[in-house]
Amino acid sequence: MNREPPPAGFTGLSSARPPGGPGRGPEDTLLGFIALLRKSGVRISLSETLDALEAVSFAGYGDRDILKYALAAALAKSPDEEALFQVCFDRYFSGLTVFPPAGAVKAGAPGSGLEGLSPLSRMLLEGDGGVLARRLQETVRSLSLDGARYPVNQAVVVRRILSGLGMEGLDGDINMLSMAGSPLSGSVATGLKESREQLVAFTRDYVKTILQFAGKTPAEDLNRYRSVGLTRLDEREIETLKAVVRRIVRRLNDIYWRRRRGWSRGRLDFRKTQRRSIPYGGIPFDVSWKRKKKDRADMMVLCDISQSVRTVVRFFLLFLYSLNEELVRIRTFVFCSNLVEASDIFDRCSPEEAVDRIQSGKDLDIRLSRTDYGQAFRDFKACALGAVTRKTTVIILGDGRSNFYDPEPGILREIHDRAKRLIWLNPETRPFWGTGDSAMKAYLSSCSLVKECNTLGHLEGIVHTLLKI
Amino acid sequence: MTGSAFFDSPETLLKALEGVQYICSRKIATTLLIALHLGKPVLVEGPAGVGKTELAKKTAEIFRLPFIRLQCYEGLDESKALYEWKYGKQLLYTQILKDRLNDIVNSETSLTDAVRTLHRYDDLFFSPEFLEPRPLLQALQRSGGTVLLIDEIDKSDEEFEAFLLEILSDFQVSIPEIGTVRATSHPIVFLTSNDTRELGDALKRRCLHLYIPFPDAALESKIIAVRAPGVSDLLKRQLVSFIQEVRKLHLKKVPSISEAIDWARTLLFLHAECLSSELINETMNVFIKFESDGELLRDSLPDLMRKSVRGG
Repeated sequence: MNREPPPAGFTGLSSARPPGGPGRGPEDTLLGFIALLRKSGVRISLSETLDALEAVSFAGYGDRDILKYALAAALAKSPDEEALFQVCFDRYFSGLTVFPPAGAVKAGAPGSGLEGLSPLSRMLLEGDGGVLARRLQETVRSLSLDGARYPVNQAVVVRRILSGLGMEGLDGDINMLSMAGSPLSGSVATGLKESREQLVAFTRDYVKTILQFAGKTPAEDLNRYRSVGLTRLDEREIETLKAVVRRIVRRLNDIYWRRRRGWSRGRLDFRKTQRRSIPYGGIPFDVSWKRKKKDRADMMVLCDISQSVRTVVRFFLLFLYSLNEELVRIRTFVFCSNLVEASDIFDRCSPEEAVDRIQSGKDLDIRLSRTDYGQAFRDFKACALGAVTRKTTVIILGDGRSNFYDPEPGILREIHDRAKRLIWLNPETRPFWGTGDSAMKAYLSSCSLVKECNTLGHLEGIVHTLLKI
Repeated sequence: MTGSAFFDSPETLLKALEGVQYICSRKIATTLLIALHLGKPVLVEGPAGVGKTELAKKTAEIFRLPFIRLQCYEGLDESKALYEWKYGKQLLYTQILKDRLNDIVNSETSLTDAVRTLHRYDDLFFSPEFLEPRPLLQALQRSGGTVLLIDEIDKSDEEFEAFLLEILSDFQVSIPEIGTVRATSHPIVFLTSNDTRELGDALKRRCLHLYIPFPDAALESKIIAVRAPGVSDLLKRQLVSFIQEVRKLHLKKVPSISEAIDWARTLLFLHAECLSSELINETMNVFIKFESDGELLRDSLPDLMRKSVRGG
C-alpha cells in the first residue's frame, strides 16, 4: 500500500499507534479484517477498502468504539451487513487485549532473569500482546487455512499453531523455573503457567472463528440450500432456510418491482397525440402513451396442512407472503379434514409468526385428523367459489392423498372453469402420483399446471411463473 | 473537508449537535465526522421518525450553511432534480426580439447566409440565464458550500439513482448545452432511505453508511428532556419506559421518537404528573395511527402499565 502521508497540520483524532508497535503499518491488520469480513459474506469493493483506510487514519486506534464506528460506516452498507460486522469486529480485534501483562512477575523479576528464557516466554512476561497477536496471525497464515473447504480437525490445528509459536520453549522454561526452587523463579513459573493457559484458550477460540468463516461464500450457500429437500428438516435447518428464503424473496421483489416500472409507460398512442397537437398548430407538444394497466396477481391458495406436507406449505406461504404487497394479493385457505380461511391471521401477524400459528391449528376451526380432499373442496365451494373470477389464480398445495374418501374431482373442474389458472403443487415426486390413496390422476385433467415442489429451488421457480403473468 | 476543520473529535461534534437540540449517540457523531473528513455522502437508514432528516438539518445549522432538500418520489427526473430550461422566457425573448432578428436575417441575401448568421446567436438562448437550477444544481453552484439532503432515495426510480452517481462521486454534472458544471465547494450530502427497496451497490459504494435504530431508554429520555422541557422526572421515566415497551408489541406502525416527543408535549399541555390508564387511553392517538394498533394496545395496557409504570 503506497499511501500519501497526511497533509501538514493534519491532526487525527488520536495519535495512538496501532497495536503491534512501531515499524509496521496498520494496513496489514486492517486488510486482514477486511478479508475476514469478505469471507463472512460482506461485499467490500476496493474503493470501500480505501475509504476504510482513510477513515482509520483519521480516527486512529485510541478509542475502540470510535474505530469500530468509523470502520462500520465505510464497510457495512446495510443493517444485515452491520450485524455481521459487529460479530467479526469483536472476534478479530479481541485478540489484541486478551493478555494482561504479567505485571507482578515483571516487577519482581530482575532484568537479568529473562535472558535465558525462550522468546515466547519473554513475550508473555513482557505482556506484549500486540506482537504476540501478530505472531499468531502470521502462524495461521503460514498454515494457509483460508482455503480450507472441508472440516479440519480443530485440535490438530491448535497444536500446530501453538508449536509454531514456540510452545516447546515455553514448557521447558516453566519446568526449569519450577525446578529451580527459589521463591522468585517459583512466582515467575506460576505467572507463566497462567499466561500459557490463556494463550491456549485464546488460540482455541481463534481457530474456531477462522474455521467457521473459512471457505464459505454466500453464493455457494444459496445454491446448496436451493436443492435441499423440504419434507424432512430439523428445527435448526428450518431457521437457516428461513434466512435463505428472505434473501431469495428480496431479490424477487427487486426484479419484479423493476419490471413493473418498465411496464408503466407503454407504447405511443398516436391518435391521442395527434388530437392533442391541434391547439399547438399540429406540433406534437403533448405526447401521450398507451398505458397497459397491469393488475397485481390475484391469488387464492389452498394448503394441505397435514403432517406429510407441512414443511413445504410453511415455506411456500413464507415465500408468498414475503412478496411485495403491490405484486400479489392473496387469500389463503388451509385444510386437513375440513377447510377454513386463514387470510386474517396473515393480516394480523408477520408471515413467519402467522405460518407458525396456522400450523399449530390453534386459532382455527379446523380438525387435524385424516386429510379429506373431497370435504375440503366442498367447503371451498360453499364459502369462496363465488369469489373466484377470471382474474384469479388458484393454487393448491398438497399431495392429493385423500385417505380413500371421495376425491370430488368435479368440484375441482368447476374451480378450474371459473379461474384464470389452476396450479397444483405436489411435494411428492411424479412416479408416486396416483399410487395408493393418491387421487392425483383424477385431478390432473382439471389443472392448468401441475408441478413437483419439494425444494426451495422449485418454490422459487414457481414464484417466477406466478409473477410473469 | 469543511467540518473536520472545526471539530477534532466526536465528542466536540456531539456537543455541537446537542447545542442545536439534536441528541444522538456517539456512533452517529463519529460517522458524521468521518464523512465530513472524507468528503463523502452519508446514506442514512433506519425506521421512520428516528431523526434521519433532522440530522441533515441540524448539520446545516451547526455549520451555518444553506440547507437544500430534494424530496424523491416515483417519476422524479432530471428536469425536476437538476435543471430545466426556462421555456417561457425563451419564447418571450424570441417574440420581443422578433424585429431585431428580422433585421439580422433581412440583411443577408441568401438563405445559407441567413442561417449561418442565425447560428451565431442561437447560443444566446441556451445560456445560463435561461437555465432554471433545481436542487441538485443549486447545491453544486452555491459557493461556500451547502448541506444537500436527498430524502427518501428509495422512493425514486432506478434511473434516477444511476443518474445520481456522477454527482455523488465527482460532485459534477454534465449539461449537454453548456458543459460540465463542477461544484465550487463540496456540499455535505445526506441521503436517507426507509428501505422500501434495495438500493444499488454502486450507490452504496459511494456513500458511507449509517443505520440509526430506535434509541435506548437513556438516550430517549435525554431527547425528551431537551425537546419537551418541563416534563417532570417521574413522568419522563414512565413515558420513556412505556414507549420502549410499546415498541416491543407487534404493531403495524411503531411509535417513533418524534411521536414520543409529541406525546410528551401533549401530556405537558394537560399538566399530567404521571401516567395512568385513563390518560393513556385518552392521548394514545398521538402515537398510535391505526385502529387495530389501538385495540392491541388497549388489550395489553394492564401488562404494559405493570411493567413500565409501577415497575419503573
